[in-house]
Amino acid sequence: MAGADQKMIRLTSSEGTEFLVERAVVEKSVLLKNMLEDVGESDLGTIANLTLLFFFIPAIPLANVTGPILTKVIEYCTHHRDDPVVTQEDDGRKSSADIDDWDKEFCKVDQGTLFELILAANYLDIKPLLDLTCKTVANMIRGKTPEEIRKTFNIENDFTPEEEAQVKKENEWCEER
Amino acid sequence: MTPTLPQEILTEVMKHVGENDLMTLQRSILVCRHWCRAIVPLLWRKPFHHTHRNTAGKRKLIPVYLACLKEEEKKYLTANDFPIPNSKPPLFNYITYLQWLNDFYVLDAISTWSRKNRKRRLLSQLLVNKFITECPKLRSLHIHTLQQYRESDILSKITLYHTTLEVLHVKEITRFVSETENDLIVGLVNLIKSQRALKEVVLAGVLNGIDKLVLSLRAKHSRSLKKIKFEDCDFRVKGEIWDLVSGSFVNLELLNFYGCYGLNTSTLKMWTKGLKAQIHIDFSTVELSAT
Repeated sequence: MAGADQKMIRLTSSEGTEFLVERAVVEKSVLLKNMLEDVGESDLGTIANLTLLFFFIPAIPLANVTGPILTKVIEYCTHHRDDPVVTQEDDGRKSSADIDDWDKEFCKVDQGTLFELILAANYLDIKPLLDLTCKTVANMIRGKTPEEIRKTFNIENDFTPEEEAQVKKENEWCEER
Repeated sequence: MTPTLPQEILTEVMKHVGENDLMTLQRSILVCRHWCRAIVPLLWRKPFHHTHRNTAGKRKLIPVYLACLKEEEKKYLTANDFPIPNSKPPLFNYITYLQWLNDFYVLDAISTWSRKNRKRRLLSQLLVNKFITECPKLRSLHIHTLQQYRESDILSKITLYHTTLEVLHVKEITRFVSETENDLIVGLVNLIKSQRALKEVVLAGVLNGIDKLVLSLRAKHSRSLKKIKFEDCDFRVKGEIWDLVSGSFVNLELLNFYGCYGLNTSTLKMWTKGLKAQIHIDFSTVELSAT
């Protein structure tokens, strides 16, 4: 499977750190996959051996992703490189219980990193990573009171007392009884 | 420092919490303004579904929707002896978030909220009309009492405002024979044809014109439909019309004829030809006439 097909791509993080990554891994990102396809099909289409691209094209700059986050993203995509592609129309029942051990371990990071991973997954359009990180945050929210949620995520309550009372009142219908 | 999550991401996170975990959603909207704005639209997707078995919930839900009415709508109701309680302007226009609508549940919620009011149907019709014209994300529509909208031409309105319904249930279609019967079938055919990809259809009480409805489903939704249910429908149709159905609905997972008549073994064969093996067909109440 590897061998001749193994093309490398250069990615640059926001601070300018370069990462050399296999194309198959990079293509877990729909954004980058489309970008590479565009490049391949247009002006660089005549270069038969895409390995040569390394010398011809500049690295893909990812201005929104820092080095440490990009490292994590690459780690995730490398581990999941052979997973089947998930279809977009998968909006049915989303269960949060089915996170496997490797993924669980992968998400054991500080909250800032977790949030940045979500943002990077969203920007790079890596649906399984976005699902995993969102699920992890969802599990941190479930069952908590508003005050506990604020504490967990270091959020300030910016409602006025009147507003808070009105939000409560207008949404009272969903209380159990 | 922890970055804040943009609203669309927060919405994504809450989808994993699940739209049926009302307690977590309700607590989350009280966290701060940012969370509130992101999560309220999720919470208000199908309140009539969530409160159907919750009397207290129904009583609290209706006043919030009333507060969302425009001034002229409030005046119209008041003029028709339907008093509207005074309330603050709501924080959100909750009406626009609805994705799941069942007209019977709307009427039921109103009846629970105001048992004595005889003009409950007036408010229910006004709200249903509003949901149809003001909810761009409506995906699941259940009209259980089609006859009560005879004058308001509800089918054309649905056709005009919606093309992305996924679930469509229409009941009491031609239960009472009337001169408007044919119009209703034509209206329903147009509605079915204007949708992009229906996944589930329930048609009930069709005494006349079931063939036209089935053909419109076949014309537009033969690939997308997964569930079809007929209740109290008359399948006595002249001609070899059911031959056309054979092998049409390729992705069907459930086919149900409940209390239908005029089906015989050869028409049923047409329906089941080429369907998946695991399909569930319930003919328990079908009166099979001899071929």
